[in-house]
Amino acid sequence: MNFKLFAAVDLARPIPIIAVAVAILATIGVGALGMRIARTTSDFFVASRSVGTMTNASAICGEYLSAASFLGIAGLIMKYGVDMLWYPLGYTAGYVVLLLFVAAPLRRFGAYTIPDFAEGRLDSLLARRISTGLVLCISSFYLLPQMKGAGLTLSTLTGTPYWVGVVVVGVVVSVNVAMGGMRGITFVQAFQYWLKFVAIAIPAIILGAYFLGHRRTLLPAPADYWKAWSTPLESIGQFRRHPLYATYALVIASFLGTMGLPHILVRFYTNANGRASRRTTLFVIALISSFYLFPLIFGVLGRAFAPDLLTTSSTDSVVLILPRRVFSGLGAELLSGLVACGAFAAFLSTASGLVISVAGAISQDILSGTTRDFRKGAFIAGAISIAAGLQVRSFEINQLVSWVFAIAASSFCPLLVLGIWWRKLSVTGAVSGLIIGAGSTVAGVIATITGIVTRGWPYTLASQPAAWSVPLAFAVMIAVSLATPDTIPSDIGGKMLKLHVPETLNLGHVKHHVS
Amino acid sequence: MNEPRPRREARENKRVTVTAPRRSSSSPQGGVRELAESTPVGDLYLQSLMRSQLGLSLRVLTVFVTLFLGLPLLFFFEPGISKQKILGISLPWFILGIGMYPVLIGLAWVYNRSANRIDDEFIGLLGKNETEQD
Repeated sequence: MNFKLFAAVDLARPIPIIAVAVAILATIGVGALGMRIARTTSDFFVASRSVGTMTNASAICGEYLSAASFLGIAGLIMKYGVDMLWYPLGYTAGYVVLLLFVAAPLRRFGAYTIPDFAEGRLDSLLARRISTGLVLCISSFYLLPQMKGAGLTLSTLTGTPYWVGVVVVGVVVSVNVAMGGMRGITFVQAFQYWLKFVAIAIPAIILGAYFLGHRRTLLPAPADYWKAWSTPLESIGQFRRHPLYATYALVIASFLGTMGLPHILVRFYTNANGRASRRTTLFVIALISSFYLFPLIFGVLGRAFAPDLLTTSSTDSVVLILPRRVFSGLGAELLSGLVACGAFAAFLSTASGLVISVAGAISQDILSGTTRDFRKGAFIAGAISIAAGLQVRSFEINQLVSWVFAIAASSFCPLLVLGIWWRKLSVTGAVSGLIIGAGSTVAGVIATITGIVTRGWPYTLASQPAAWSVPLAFAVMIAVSLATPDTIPSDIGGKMLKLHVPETLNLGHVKHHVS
Repeated sequence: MNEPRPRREARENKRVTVTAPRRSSSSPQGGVRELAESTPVGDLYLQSLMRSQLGLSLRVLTVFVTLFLGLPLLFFFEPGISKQKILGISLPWFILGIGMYPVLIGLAWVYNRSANRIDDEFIGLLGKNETEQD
């Protein structure tokens, strides 16, 4: 195969450019449909809760499956092998933990965002402010890998400079969010899930069938590398020096971080009641599970058809590149267009959800909470994400994403789980747990980025903090709560009632209006 | 996607919110009132509901944690497992790449059914008290 020839032809092929344009236009078009219906403030924030289970579950998945899932996981599997399968598995399993402890009670409580929950459960403005700060921190951090993915994909596919993709996604997303509000976005997100599913499933199935038909070998690399790739818990080079610890840290972060992602939890408010919330989560688990089979196929086939990516260490592009490596002519271009369309859907959808979270936090907690403020917040969020997105070109997508999960797991997870199930949680305990949990995780991340720690156990512990920072956050929250029982909020019985008693009994479930 | 069903659900939801204030104003009887007014009996009801739900969640979580913390240990202490094959795929690849997903969906389904049943039993319990005292 002549790889150089293929690389040169990359720039001249128009179909992927058209496909990206279609993804953007379709996103705007479906959003415009929703815009006609979105009229009042509560429409903007919660879609008036008139969204069905399947639509809502698709929307949650559409929002959840980001650049890391669509491009990153296949690249990781191709490069590092079987241990990377914990990533998609953990991203899915996070919803099971969310289902077990959070989904129904949080919906019954009527809290729209995590700051709403913190304030309502603890009667504390301080807890609300700190939660808002964490929402802004987690969402902005999570926006960076999306912007980076957009810049990178557009430049790979069309040869434009890096900034073009960043600006395009930032503008499209903030304008769309500001115009359609969440009602528009719910339909957009549901549509994005199915677009992503088709865009990864069809090429993966065709490539897989071709591979089985032609019996290509998966073994172009040296034998020791092959063994490390195919066997669990083998470190590859400098990567993952303590594989057992790294696996546990990864599992804990993805299990417990999912429930702390602000843009995901907001969607559960759109369910009609606690029971619908459980059903939606079950659908989400099934939808995400079926999606994650396909990055696995791409990752494995990448070794057979594009082994050169291993040495150039740009395996993140394997999903985009593979169709042209295996086929040629119109078929290859159509499949490339399809994956390009799906990749863009991934950036647009996740970034939309995050921009809504940031806009919501800005309009509710910093401005006065009107529809105009929400729009203003969306544009501020878009501007920030463009500005910051331009700075992160050299950062690795999946590392950024796993840090986001670690921060969420060691702050919002203990707040939600203890707040929902433990009567003795005190304001002082919750606030100290949030600060120490998030603070220690961020400290580990900063120590890694700035190169304070570079090797051995200190590096492993700092760069993969969840395995110690989550237990620490829980311990602090519990210990400080027990030591400060005087700051336990009043009417704890009423709050537990609202959280746990089914809505059909009509106890304290006042219809919650955000504004 | 199934369009008609969501719409029906939405309509049901609206109907519930319309009738909600009326019900609570005509002072509820028995167990529901005990709950609403947080009497000691009402608190007992609430605590038993929370205990059943938390117990269920913790039982499912135990299965879950055993699988997820156990598998890395299994791979760590039994490296020979990589030589086993299912459908031509090495066992760790099969378990992590395919096999665990149906397990997750199954666990979630079992949990949903049991959690909804606990809620129903709770509603039934209070409803019975209500009719008894009427």
